[in-house]
Amino acid sequence: MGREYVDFHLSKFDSKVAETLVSLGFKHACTTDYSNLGQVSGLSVYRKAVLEARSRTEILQRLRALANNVLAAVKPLTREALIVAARDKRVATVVVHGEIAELDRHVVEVLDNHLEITMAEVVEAFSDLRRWRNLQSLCRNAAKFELPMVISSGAMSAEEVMPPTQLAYVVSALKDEPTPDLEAISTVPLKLLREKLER
Amino acid sequence: MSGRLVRLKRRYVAVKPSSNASPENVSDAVRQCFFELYGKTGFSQSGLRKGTAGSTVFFSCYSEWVPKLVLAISLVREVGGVRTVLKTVGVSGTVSGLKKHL
Repeated sequence: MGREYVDFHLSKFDSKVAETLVSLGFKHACTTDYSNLGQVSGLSVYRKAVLEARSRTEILQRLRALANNVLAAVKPLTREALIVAARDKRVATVVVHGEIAELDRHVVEVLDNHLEITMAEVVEAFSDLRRWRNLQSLCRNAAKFELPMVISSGAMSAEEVMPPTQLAYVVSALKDEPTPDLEAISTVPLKLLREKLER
Repeated sequence: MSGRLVRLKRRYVAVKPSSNASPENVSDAVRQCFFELYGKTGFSQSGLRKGTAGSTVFFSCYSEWVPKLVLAISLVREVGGVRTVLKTVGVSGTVSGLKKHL
């Protein structure tokens, strides 16, 4: 049986995006845009929320307000928020970005949740050298500590949706690995979907 | 005892732009992005080359540099002043193998 590919984060979702996803071989997608959710043959679509947070209180309050059928991803803006997001069971993924706190052994010790990187964040970080280096060092640390990662497109339009193998190559380039990390776009996010939504 | 000289394997990556950008502009944009990421050293070590098969642009580099080349391709957001996203169509060990993906 072939792999089931998942685009774990889409910022915009409409019929054109859905069509592109199906043509590229995706079977599942998560979106933060609920305005055009409908039945698409060959594609399962899930609701997702990305919570930007600075403190523990902010994360806990926003997680409490979230519906059960919505997947939670936290974009931590401080080290405190990173540590809370790393171990809260309600959180599906911790969104990696250019301003994220360092992923040292203390954070790794408490890290229960998966790290997620979006292509949109990668492109944004590339415009600033400091953010780019921070992002690269975090991905290399994730590889060093053997932490599974999830990669998604974060697409705002159909043209930004990328083929699964392209995304797999991007994550392996960031981790400095020679082969495409297909797990980051198939097995790992699929397991997360089953664990977090079928509770 | 002399060491064996091993020929490095090449991989070919076909690219499809989202706009009607010319192959020359696509190639320039990718090469510039690759240069920004890995500098002169990376550029020469990767063995990066460009080519065209019909209207499709493809790049070739040594096999261990493929993820880095794909990263450079994915980071391109503008080609010849027009907003463009590049998508990889296929990766192959030969140009004829690559044509099967097109």
